[in-house]
Amino acid sequence: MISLVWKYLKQQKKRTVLTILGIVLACALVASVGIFFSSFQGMMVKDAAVSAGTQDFSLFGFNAGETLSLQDARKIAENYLVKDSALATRNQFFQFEKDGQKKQENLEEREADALKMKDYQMVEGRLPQTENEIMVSSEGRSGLRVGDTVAGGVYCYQYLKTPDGMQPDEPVQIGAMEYLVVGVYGAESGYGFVSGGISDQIEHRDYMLLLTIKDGMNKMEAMDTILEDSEVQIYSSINQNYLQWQGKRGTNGVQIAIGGTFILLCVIILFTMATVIRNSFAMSVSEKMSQFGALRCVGASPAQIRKMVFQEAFLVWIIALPLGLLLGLGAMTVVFSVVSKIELNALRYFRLMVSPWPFLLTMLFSFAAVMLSARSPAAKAAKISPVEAVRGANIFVDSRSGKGKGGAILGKLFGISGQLAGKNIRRNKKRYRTTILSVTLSIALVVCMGGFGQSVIGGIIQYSGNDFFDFRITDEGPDQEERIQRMQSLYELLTSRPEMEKGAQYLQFYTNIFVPQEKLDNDWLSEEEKSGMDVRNELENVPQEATTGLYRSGYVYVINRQAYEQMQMQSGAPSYDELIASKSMVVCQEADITSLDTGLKKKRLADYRIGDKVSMDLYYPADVSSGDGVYSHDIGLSFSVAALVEETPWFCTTKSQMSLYIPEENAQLALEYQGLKLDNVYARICLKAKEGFQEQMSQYVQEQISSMDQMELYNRYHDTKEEHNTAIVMSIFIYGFLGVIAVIGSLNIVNTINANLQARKRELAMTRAVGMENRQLWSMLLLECVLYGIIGTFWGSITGLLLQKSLITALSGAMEVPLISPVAYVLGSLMTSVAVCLLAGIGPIRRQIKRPIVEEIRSQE
Amino acid sequence: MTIVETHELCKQYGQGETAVNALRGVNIKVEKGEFVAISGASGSGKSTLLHMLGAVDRPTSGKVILEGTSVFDQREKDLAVFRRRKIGFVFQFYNLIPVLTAEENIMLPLRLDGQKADREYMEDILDTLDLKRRRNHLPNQLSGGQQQRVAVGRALIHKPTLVLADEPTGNLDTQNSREIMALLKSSVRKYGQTLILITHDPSIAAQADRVIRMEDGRVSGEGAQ
Repeated sequence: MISLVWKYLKQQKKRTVLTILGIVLACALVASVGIFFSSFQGMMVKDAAVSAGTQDFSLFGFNAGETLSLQDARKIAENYLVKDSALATRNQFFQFEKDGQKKQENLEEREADALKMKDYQMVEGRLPQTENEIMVSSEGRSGLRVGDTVAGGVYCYQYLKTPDGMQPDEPVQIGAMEYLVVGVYGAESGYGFVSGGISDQIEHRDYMLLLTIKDGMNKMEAMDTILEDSEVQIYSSINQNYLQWQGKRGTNGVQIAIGGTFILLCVIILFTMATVIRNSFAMSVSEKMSQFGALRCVGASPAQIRKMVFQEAFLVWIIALPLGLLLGLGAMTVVFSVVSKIELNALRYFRLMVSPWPFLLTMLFSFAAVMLSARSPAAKAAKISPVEAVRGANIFVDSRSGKGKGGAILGKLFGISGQLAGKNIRRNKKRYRTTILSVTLSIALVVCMGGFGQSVIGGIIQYSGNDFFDFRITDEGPDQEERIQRMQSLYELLTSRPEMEKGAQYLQFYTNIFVPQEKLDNDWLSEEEKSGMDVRNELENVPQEATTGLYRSGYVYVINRQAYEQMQMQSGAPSYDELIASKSMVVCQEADITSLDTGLKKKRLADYRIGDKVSMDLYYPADVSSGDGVYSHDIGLSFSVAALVEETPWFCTTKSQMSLYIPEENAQLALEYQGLKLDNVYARICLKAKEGFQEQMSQYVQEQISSMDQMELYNRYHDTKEEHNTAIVMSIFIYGFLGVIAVIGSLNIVNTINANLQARKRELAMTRAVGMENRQLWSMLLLECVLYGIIGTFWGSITGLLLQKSLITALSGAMEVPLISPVAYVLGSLMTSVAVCLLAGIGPIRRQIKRPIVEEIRSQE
Repeated sequence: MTIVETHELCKQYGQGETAVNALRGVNIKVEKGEFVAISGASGSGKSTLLHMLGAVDRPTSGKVILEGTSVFDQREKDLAVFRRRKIGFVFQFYNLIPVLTAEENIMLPLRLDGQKADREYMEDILDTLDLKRRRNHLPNQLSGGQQQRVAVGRALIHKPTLVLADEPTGNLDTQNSREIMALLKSSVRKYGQTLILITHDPSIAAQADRVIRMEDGRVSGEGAQ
C-alpha cells in the first residue's frame, strides 16, 4: 500500500511540497538551534580551558603561608586514581631592570605537561620549551618583546605566623635566572611570565600540582580518596567551570538556563511544525474521504487505512529530514562565517562546532512530532465508514455545517459579500478553528521571537546612546602626592590631542549615604522591597533627626573647577567659588536602574532638596587583600546640598548609584575624616574621544600608559563596541530564526486557506450558478481571508506575549533580560498575516473563477 | 441453498421528528447462483438494503446472514476481510481510486488481502473487460463505460461469493449498459456467483431470475421472471 500512498503524495504535488517544505524548515531550525548551542558550549569549554586550564583539580597550600612540597606533590601524583599530573611553581615573582627601571612580574614555571594543560592563545611567537625560555602576557607591563633576554632575581612571597594570623613578610630571593622571551600569550590566560620548565637553579618553596582523575569516577570522591591516601593537608581546587561545560560535573545556573531556553525554543518550533503537518494531513484525509470509503468497500481494514496515513507522514518526513539537516548545517556555516568577521572579544572562541547530538535530537524530535501530528488524522481516516464512498460522490453540503451566525456589521459595510463572509467563516467550527489556529500560531511565534530578540538585545546594550566616557585611567600608585602629579601631567598630555573631545580629572571613593525615611521615594521603595531588598534596616548611631532610613551605596567625587563646569546642573546652581565658600556639595540622586519588568529606567533614589544635609558613612577595608571591611557606623560627617544634578555626569564610574560631588578645596575634610588609607581613594582621568577617532585614541592612550607603572586603563569604548557587536551577533541569530519561523508560519497559513477554499469548490460553483458575480465572489472570499488574519493576530499576539515571558524567564538564569513589549512586531504581524491570508486566497479564487461552473459541480475530487 | 438472507432488517437515519426509516423489517432470501434484481421508486430503500447486504453500512436492527454467518456480529476488522473476500461491489459512480491505473484498481482487493493475482486470471479478466490496451491508464483517462468495466473487474477479481451492483448502468449509454450486464451475467454464471442488482431499467430487471420490489422501506412484492 505504500505505493498507493506515494501516488497520493504525487497527485497532491502542491500540498506535498508545502508540507515537506514546512518540515524541512522546522528540522533546519531545530538543527540550527542545536548547532548554535553546541557551538556555544564549545566556546565556553575553550574559554575555560584558556583561562583556567584543562585539569580536573589544582592542588596547593591551604592558607597563605602554607605550601605544597615537591615530595608531597610527587606522592599525590603517584596515586592509582590519578590519570595525568603536572607540576608548576607558585607564589614567585621575577625582579629585573628594564630601561633603567626596576620591574617585577609574577613568575610561574611550568613543566611541559603543565603547559599543555592550559590552552594558551599565542599572540606572538611560541610556547617556551625549556626552563630558560619564557613567554610574557599581552597585557603585561614588562615592556619585553619576543627575542629579548632578561636577567634578574627570582623571589618567593613569604608569610609570617602572627597572633593575628598569617601576615605577609619580606619576599626572599630563591635564585637568579636569565630568560629568553620566545612568545607573548593572550591575557585571558594570565598576566605574568611563564617558563617552559622548572629550573634546578632555583630553590623552589611552593608548588602547584595539576591533576586529572581517571575516567568514569566521581571527581570529588576520587579527590577525597587521593588526599586521604596521601595524608597530606592540602587545598584542592576543582576546575568547576571547565568540567561543568564539558558535562562532567553537574550543571551551573547558566547551563540550566541556556539548556532550558534551547528546549523551550525546540518545543515551540516543533509544535508549530506539528500543527502545519496535522493541518496538511487533516486536509488530505478530508479530500480523500470518499476514496477511503471506496477502499473500505473493497475490504481495506481500519488499521490499513490508518497505516496509510502514517505511511504518508513517514514518507514526507524521510524526504524532508536530510534536506532540513543539510539546510540547517549550511545556514549555520554561513552565519558563523559572517559572525567570525565581526570583532567581538566575548565571542572570540565562538566557532562552528558540529557534533552528532543536534542532528540526532532533530531526527528524534521531528519524527515524534510528525508521527504525533498524523495520529489524529489517521484515527479520523480509520473511522471513515464504507458508506462514505457512496455518500460522498454527489454531495457538497458540509454535514458539519452550522447555521453561520454573525455577518450583520460586515453586511452593512460590504453588502451581501460581507454578510456571507461573516457567516461563512464561522459556519464550520472545525474549519474555523483549524484556520484560526494556524494563523494564531504563526503570529504567536513571530511576536514571541521578535519580542524575545528585542529583549535580549535590550539586556545587552545597557547604556547605548548615553553620554559616557570612552576611557578611564586609574592611578593605583601608593603615594598620593605622586599620583596627583602624575595624573595631572598625563591629563594635560592626553587632553592636548585635538582628537579628544573632553576630559575630566577627579578623586573618587566609595561611601554609604544615609537616606532618612522621609527622603525616600515610596513607590520605588516598594519595588525594591518586592525584589527582596531589605530596606528597613536600623543601625546604631544614626543621626537623631532620623530614626529610620536606608543606606544607599554611592560614590564621592572630589572634583575640580573644570569638571564642575561640565556638569548639567539645575537652574540656580552656585558657581564653583560659591560652592567652595559654602562648604557644601552637589548631589545626583537620579540613577539608571534595570529591572526585569521595566527594562532600563531612570529612578530617583532619594528626595533631597537644596539646603538639606546629607550624611555619609564611609566604608574602608581593614584588610585590602581579603576585602573584609568595617563600617565606621559614624555618620557625623555631612555636607549641605548646594545643587542637584539631573543627569549623572559623563565622567562618572556608574550611572546606577547616587553620587556626591565635593570641590577638591573642601575635600580634605572628608579625606581626613576617613582616616583614609589611600588604597581606596582612586585618582582618575576620564576621556571622551571625538566621533570617528575612538579607535585611534584608544591605541594612543594605551601606548602612553603602557610604560607607566600601576596605571590601570578601562577601555569603555571597546566594551561598548563589544556590546554593540554582541547585539549584532545576537540579532543575526535571533532574527535569522525569526525569518525562518515566519516562513513556516506563512506556509501554514497558505496551506490551510488553500485547502479551506478547495473544500468548498462545489459550494462556490453553486453560488456562482445562482447568480453571484465574480467581483462579489472575490470580495466575499478576500474578506474571509482578512477576517482570519485579524482574528488570528489578536489571539496570536496574546499567546506570543505569554511565550515571550516564558522564554525570558527561562533565560533569566544566564542573563538579565528586560521584558520589552513587542508592539512593532504585533503591528507588523497584523499587516503580514492579513497580507499572507490574502495572497493565500488569491490563487485558489482565481482558479475557481476561471473554471466552468458545471465542471466544478460535476467534479468528484 | 440460501446464500444470503435478512431477518427483520431495519435502518433508521436521524432521530426524533427528523428520523427517516429507510428499511422497516425487511426479510429476504437469495439462493446461491441466483440473479436477483431490486427495483422501486427513489427513497424506497433499495440502496440501503444493498449496503446492508454488502456490509457497507450497519443496520439499526435485524440481521444479515451470509453463508450461515451473521455478518454484523463480526468486528470491524473482520468485516473488512469479509468484504474483500466474500463481496464484490459495483457502484453507480464507479468509486475508483484516481491515482491507481485500471489494472491496479482491479487488483486492489487482492493487494489489500496481501495476495498476488493469478496472472493468467488477470489477463483473462482484462481481456473479458476489453481493457488490455487501457490497463495502465488512470481513471480520468477512461470513458464512463471503461471506468465501470474497471469497477466490475475490481468486484470480480477475487471471485466473491456475492456480487452486488447499485445501478451499475445508471450512468451509461445503452450500448455500454448492455455490455456491462453481459459481463456481469457471464461472470457470475462462470464462477457460480450470486448477483443482486438494483435497477430502474425494466429491460435489465427482465433479465433477472427474480425481482424484489421495494416500497417505503418494505418489500412490496417479489416475482420470478
